[in-house]
Amino acid sequence: MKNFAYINAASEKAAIESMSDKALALAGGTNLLNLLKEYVLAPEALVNIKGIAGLNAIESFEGGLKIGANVTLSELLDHAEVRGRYPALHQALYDIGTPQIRNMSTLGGNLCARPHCWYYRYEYFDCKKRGGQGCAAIAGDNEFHAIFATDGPCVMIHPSSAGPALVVYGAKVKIAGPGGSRDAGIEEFFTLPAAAVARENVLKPNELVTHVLLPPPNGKSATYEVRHKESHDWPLAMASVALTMAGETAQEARICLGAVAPVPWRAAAAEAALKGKVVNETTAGEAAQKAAEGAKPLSGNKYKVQLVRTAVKRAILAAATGRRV
Amino acid sequence: MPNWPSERQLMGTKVPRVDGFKKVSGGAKYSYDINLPGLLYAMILRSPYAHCKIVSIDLGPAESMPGVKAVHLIKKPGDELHYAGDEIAAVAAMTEEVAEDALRAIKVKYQVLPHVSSEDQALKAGAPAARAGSADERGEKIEDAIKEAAAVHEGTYGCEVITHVCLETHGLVARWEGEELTAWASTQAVHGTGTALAQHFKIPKATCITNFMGGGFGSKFGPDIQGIVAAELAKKAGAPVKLLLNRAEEHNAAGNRPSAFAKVKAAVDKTGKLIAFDAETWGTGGHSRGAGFPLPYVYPVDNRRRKHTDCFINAGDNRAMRAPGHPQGSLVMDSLMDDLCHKFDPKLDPVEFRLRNLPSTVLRDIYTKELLLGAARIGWKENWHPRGDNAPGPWKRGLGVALGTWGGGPGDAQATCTLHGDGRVEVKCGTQDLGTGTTTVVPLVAAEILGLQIGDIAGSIGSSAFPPAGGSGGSTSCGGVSVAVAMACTKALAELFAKVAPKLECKPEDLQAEYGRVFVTGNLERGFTWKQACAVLGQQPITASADKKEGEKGMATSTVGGAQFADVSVDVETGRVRLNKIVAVADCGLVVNRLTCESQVLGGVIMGINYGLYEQRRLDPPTGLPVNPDMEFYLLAGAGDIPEIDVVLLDYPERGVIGIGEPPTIPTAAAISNAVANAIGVRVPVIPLTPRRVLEALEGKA
Repeated sequence: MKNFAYINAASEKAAIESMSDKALALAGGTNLLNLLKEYVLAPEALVNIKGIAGLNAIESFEGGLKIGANVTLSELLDHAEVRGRYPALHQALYDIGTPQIRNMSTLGGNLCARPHCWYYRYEYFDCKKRGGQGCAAIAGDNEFHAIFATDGPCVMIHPSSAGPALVVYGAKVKIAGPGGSRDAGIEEFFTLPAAAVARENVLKPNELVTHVLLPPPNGKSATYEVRHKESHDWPLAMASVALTMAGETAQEARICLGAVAPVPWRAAAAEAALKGKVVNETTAGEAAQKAAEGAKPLSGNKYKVQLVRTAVKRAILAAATGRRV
Repeated sequence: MPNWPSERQLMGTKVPRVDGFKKVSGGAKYSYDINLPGLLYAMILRSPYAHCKIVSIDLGPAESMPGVKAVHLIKKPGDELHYAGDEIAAVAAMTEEVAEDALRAIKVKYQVLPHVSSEDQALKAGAPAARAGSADERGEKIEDAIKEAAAVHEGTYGCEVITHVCLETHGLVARWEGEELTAWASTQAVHGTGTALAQHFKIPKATCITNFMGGGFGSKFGPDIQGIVAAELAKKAGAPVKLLLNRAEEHNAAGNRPSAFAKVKAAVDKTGKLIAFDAETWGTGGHSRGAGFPLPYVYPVDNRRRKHTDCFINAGDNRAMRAPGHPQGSLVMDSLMDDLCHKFDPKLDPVEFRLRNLPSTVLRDIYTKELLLGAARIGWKENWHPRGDNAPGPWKRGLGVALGTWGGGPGDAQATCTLHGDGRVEVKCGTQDLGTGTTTVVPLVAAEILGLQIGDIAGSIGSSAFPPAGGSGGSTSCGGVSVAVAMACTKALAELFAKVAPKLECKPEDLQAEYGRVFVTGNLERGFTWKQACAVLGQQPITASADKKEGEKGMATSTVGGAQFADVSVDVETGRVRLNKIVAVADCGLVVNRLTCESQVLGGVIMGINYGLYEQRRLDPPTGLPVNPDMEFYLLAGAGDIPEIDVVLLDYPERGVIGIGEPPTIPTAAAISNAVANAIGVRVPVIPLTPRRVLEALEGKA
């Protein structure tokens, strides 16, 4: 790892003034330190944001929640309101990493984490994100890569498990920068590689996610994750679902996929298929078929199409019944 | 013929590890933990290409870097590098960070050469990298037998390359004091490593110390390139050097289990007995080593033919890995047996099918007992169904079984036993504890022979300064070490008896040592406490030496069989396999320490679970570079992935001691694969059984 200066930021302002493309924000460090050790990133400085007051609280806000970016995943999991009112988020976070990782990882970090694509993570591979010529995953071992938006310059999957849940809740991200603070819709926050291949979101080098704003939930919700291992594994595919119900009928449905595209992937066709339908095995299955439409798998990940269908169907049924499938 | 005491107080009981507290409290110092004054840290520069030639090397930028104390060239310009990870040069510096910076400053020009990075590429016509390994043909009636068979099955099966993933990586700490070299090595062979270092440096003796060891599984028998390099750097720098590999190096350059693939055609007669076996097999063991494995395995067949091809690819070489070849043989053979049984008669119980095909050796009775016992423990009668679970819902449940066999005879070992006048007992043996529990075996056996408690014995192992013992490979340590220790203690005790007998006015042969006393047989009162007895020695202790050869006949033997059963559930909508339970029935003759023996079986099964479900060394197809040399993308079971494991040890005390380290890992993956086939109604031909492979197999069925 390259030597770096360590800057302890006492305030948002101080952090923003210190941050640049050569001075990166450090929160939990579970993602960043690995990248430093592998020489994938070699910044001049790290700006510790953990000491900034006000970024580590979960507060009531306009009937929903205002969650500081430095709140750890463990704290979110332990929070009664997150567990009770936002089950899709709770379930999305539940199995991330290990207890030790969840104790260190922050919500802001989960949203801003860099890809865990092995071609990005090992410096000896060609990777456009690291300024290379091509994307090694396209002709390489892409069993775990994207099946949506695979015609872009990079076929990573976004590593955030919280992302799809925040999308179905219509969350906003509070961003602080030199010009002050702004709110971005969660879907606008994440960006496709075609927009800018070197980054995964709208943040500029001197901008910082400070909070996530969750509006009050409007119905039932759930997340279903497919993974290979029980302990310490990444999702192979996941789906978060929020349903506005009238009796057994879904008046509105919001469905977002994780681990299958370079951004949390909104499944609009599946939402439309479910809208106005009585939610049952059949309608959930039909929506699941729609969710997989438009998938363009790579050479080694056709199986993920089936995983998407399963995850969507099970997430819809889990949301409607309140039972984990 | 020497034998074990007929009534044993300690052997066969559950004895906690004598070093257990140190291990769980951080008190145990592994080679990685050895820090000496002035210690330097070394790292190795490795090939960044799958295949290349060194055109030029400039070490200058590294040598001139502040903090760098020594640089050592391993290869020279013109040398070929055979895989990504092949060693080029090494640096010793005051910190690891400086050492790594220095490596990155070394300027190397490479000429990139064409590479081969998979078995398929190697086998393609014209590729120079595949070499026919061997051909084996016995019996002359294969074609006739197949024609007359009641059932014939043809299938392809395979296992991927996996790595040892020792939690403590390979390497050592080297210190020179004049011409004397001491190495604290993470090794399975303290004597072998000490001798190899002495030979390399042409010095009379090098001492190798391994007090605690974080796993080797067959991959750590000598100083290795990194050990030699550490000692070279220490010599050049005039300071002790630590060189232990990082995780990526461990995956890429420190050994692996070769892949194995087989296209097999086999047939049974109308009684369900194997009558013909015709196999084409291949696999890769790296750039220069083969990929042999036993086949047919366990089940005998007279008419058989096998053609094997070793695929040489640009990857790190294989090393022995826990029962070399056997897990591959088991996966291929026991998968085939299940498929053949299904073809022959879908309703025939695979346990019955196996009973019909057992070998007519010493293992016949052992396997029979194990199959029946294991079947009862897994609930076979209640829950086995013909292939394909018809229950509603996505989760399908199935049962599977597989067998394995191993030697485990007593390895070379010598030991000394010293009895002191104050009652102290010292036992020394130049073996090592890989984590298997040898540190506890030594005092346990000594205490058994001397009639004492384990705490009364000072056992010492883990140094080449102690009496020679072989490397811990082939499950040979427990047999060899326990016999050598027992014989040394028996001899020392005889000498003590000779000195004590006059005091008790009896003959030495009338004496026995038990319950912490030395007394006349039949009369516990007519004797001394152990301390009183030893007091006759005054200032002249007794030291007796013994070789395992003096007692191995009668006290140890080889050849074990094991049977394992798996109960699994498979989610056919995700391809995910969940293990419900594993039953492992193991034979290891006379059990020395029941606790660590069971622990070995548990560890073997867990390793087998990893083999069957998770592990796979992956090389990027276009470049041949490793994509998962870590413990994140290289999947290993966590606590949540381990099911209930029911360990059953068959007790055969009359067989003597037999090693148990390797056999329990052999049949696990095959039992899981068979259970999955039983659950979903179709064979997933290649392990690990990933969601992708399970779904693809299901798709092929539909």
